[in-house]
Amino acid sequence: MSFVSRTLRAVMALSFAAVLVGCAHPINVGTDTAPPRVEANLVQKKVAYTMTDAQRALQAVTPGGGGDRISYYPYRDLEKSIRDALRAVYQDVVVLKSAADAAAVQASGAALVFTPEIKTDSGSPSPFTWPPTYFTTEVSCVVSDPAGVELTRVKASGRGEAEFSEFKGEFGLSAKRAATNMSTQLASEILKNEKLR
Amino acid sequence: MAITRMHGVAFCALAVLATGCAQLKAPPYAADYEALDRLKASKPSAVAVVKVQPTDPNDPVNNLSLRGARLVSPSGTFAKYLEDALVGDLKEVSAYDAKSRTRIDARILGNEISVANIVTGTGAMEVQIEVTREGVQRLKKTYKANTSFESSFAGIVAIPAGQAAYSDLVRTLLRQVYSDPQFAAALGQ
Repeated sequence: MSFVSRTLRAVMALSFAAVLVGCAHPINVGTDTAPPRVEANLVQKKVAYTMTDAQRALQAVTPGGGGDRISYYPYRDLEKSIRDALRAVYQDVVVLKSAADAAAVQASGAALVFTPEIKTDSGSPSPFTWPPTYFTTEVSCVVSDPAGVELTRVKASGRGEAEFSEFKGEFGLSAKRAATNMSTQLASEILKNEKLR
Repeated sequence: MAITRMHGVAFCALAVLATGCAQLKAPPYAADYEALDRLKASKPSAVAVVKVQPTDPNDPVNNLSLRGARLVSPSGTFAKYLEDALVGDLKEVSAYDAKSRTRIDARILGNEISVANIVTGTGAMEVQIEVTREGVQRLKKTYKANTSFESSFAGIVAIPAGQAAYSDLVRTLLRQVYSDPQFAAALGQ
């Protein structure tokens, strides 16, 4: 192989690697597994949670494996898990854009308004593969009354782990497991809080 | 020797993730809950969902690929994926009854996720929805959804991007259905 050819190949390989290093691999971090909803045990209240389109469009980028990163939409993907946790506790659940919009809260008939904040992290010890082998999801909710006065706060977190051999075409498997754990813990934390009955 | 073997393993792992040999599972569906809450506020009557067509797994709408990597439905077919989404949403708003004489028949006419373009990926879905009550047609309408998302020339970015985008395509399609006053009226008392 000539010097020019070797150099050209090296430059091309480096260029390709440089482009890939800057890439984030998109995944979905949601789950379809919900905490159980037992009609007989539900708190007979209608509650609301808040989420805006701007939050749903918010993209997060956290570490994956092999020095790569992953990208996802935490609010969009985890909205179902938050709603499922509330539905496991309360009779009726609706979504609102803001807890501060007193008129919308009044019109919804919600007795409590949950305003969630989501934090996530991820990673993988693998030097060769990009999907995250661990993922953590934390949801902190400020809970207010219909007038917008804060009543209490609840927090739940979930950690999910998945080995490369388990992925089977689901690169977000660890995140999916974290979401399932978070949703179950959120329902449990709400039930434990006397102010939220 | 050990280093050579390690390079071999790394190369194989990279190849699995970078090329089209893997089967990718579409992510779980999650509704547009604002649209669903609005549908609930319209007080829909209980409705049954008939098996979404086409059920044939070999039908083109049930076969999606992303640069050669097969995208598969966790429900078996994409028709069943849509059916599960519809049933789940109607249960969420307490409007599902498998024995109801009001029924929704849905047929997927088009279903596509493409990451062929190196800048922008696209999704397109077209579904015909028919609502009947006591055998009388109340609505027959075709709904279309088009989505776009960031793609890449690199398969290891573009392929998972297409995979992650599928649930958003179905959500966008069903948001249109639930937000349609004619659909809400067809389910009305």
